[in-house]
Amino acid sequence: MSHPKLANIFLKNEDRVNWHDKALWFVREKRDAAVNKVKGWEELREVAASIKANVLSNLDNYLLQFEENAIKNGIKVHWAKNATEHNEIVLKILQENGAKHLVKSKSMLTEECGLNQYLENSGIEVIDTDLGERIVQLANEPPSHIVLPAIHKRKEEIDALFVEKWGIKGGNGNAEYLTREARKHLREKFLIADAAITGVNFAIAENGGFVVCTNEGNADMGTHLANIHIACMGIEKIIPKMEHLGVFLRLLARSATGQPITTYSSHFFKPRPGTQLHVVIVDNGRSQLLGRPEFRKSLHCIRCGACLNTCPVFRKTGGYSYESVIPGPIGSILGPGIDMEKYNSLPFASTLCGSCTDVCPVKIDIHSQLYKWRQIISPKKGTSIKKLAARVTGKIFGNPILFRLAATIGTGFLRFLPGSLTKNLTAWGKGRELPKVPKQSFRDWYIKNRKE
Amino acid sequence: MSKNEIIASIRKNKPSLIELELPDYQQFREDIDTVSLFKRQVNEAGGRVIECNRGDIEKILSDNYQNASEVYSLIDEFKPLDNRSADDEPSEYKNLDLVVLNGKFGVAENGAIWVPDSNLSQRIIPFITRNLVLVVIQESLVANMHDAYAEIGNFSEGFGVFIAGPSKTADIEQSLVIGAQGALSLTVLLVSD
Ligand code: SF4
Repeated sequence: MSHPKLANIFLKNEDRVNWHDKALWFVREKRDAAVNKVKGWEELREVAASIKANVLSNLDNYLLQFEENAIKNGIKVHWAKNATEHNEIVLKILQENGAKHLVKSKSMLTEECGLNQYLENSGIEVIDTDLGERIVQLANEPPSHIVLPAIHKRKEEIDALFVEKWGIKGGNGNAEYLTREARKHLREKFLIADAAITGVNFAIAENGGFVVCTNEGNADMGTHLANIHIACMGIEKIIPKMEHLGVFLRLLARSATGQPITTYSSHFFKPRPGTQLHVVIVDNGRSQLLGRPEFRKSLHCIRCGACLNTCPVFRKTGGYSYESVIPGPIGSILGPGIDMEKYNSLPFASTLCGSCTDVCPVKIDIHSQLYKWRQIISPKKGTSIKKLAARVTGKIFGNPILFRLAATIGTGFLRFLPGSLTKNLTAWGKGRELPKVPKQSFRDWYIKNRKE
Repeated sequence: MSKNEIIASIRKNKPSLIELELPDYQQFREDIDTVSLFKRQVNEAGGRVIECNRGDIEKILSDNYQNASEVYSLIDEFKPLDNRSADDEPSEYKNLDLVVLNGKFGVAENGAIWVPDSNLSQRIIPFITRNLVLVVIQESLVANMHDAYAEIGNFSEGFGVFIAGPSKTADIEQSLVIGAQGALSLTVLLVSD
């Protein structure tokens, strides 16, 4: 289904939409507060973007350097061209070791590869251990947000889910009670796990180590108890030097949740004595994306979620309206690169206001890329950009053209908008991060639209 | 082999080399009081800080954790009886009530404390315990993460972790709950020698 159709489903429950919108805006505000405290935030983003640009231009050598150093440290390194190979490698490691119980911490890559389903089909118990991920796993749903997987669920629903699945007493949606119950449940799973899977936030070429960031401590509870640790990473996760972690760890949590750093930033270099440590390096279309200059920069992404939280369309339509593993603005530029037919409506799920680009800690030109995808997709679809865009945003904002103009041109239009719209818009306009739009592409777009 | 195919595909598709610039970390230097900022950040991360002298550590710990059932300490100043060895299975630590460890240094901008393998007997202990106490020497504090990695330098151990506060989650309707899968509480003993 297209984004507008799915969005219509989400939009039916007005209370939920409003709550979702507010909750994510709250996260965005926390991000702003954290960012404003950092001296040289803009320069820090510049530095991060320049490191990433260097990484992409030298990715083959960095990956080989990483592999060489990791092997020296006793890590087993595997390479997977695509999702199938990735899943097969993981299953083989588990089967060779007779592992039946697997605990997993958050990894968007394993979502992308459909690992859970694959392993379960082979009789492996897979337990997601991040609380949000465990919630959606119990509900048999995918995550709806890359950092806040269960953000679409209300506390009463989570309460009912735990009662149903674990037979606990209900807690009237009390978050503390439910978190404690989940802790008990997950402890049992950690203690019997044969193997633990984690994602990789950053892999360091110069010394073969990698870093995993969590707030809950679930990655560490998994990896330091089980005898096998498998870390799965996309090829773009490489950074050249350990010192670059200083840059990226300063950016990541502030952008994601407004914390100055996650509770745990765990650096793995060697397996614990007597245990195995595997790293699976996955391409799955990334090296192809590298060959498209206009979209290459999307490989900078550190999966912080800031562009989702700030996006008016994401906040009002929810993660499931995107139908892609990675939803929101970044998902809308990654999706069509993977399958242009299936995800052809995603680049239109945007007001092109540019807020995503403004908050992105690694300076991906997200809204320009959305615009470029529109140019590629609309001739093929035989409908005008305006119509497609209006189908999405029109449902959400009433008057998409006025909305877009207001959002992009600046605050001048705000007083002409009805109150419910200005609430969000003024919030954008506030402070130092007034959306900026690359002059050229916006003018192009504007002139073209006026003619139609 | 997939490795060769991936490398070949990258070689074919990557842009021409963009040099790695040497970042100027000095531009991020701020005029801050590291001690007060560190204390504030530990608190904001959900932990608490007790400032003390080395001589007070034992008394503070016995006063604050009188009822702790299973205690495990790797600091010289506090040695409760225990008969654990580094060869124990990590799951045998599952009932730990209190763990006391030395932190290598603290970071003022975020309240994080660096704990490498060499300060641990088993990697699991700071996570599996209910209550964690980290001893940090006041003079060890650095201003920000750039300084932190300069301090770590060429790391040759197997594991190391920055710990900022107790474990936490906001996965249920964004309401913050302290105590998720890792430690439920963190106390930092900030020691001035
Ligand atoms: S595109 Fe940028 S803002 Fe969005 S998730 Fe990735 S790094 Fe974060």
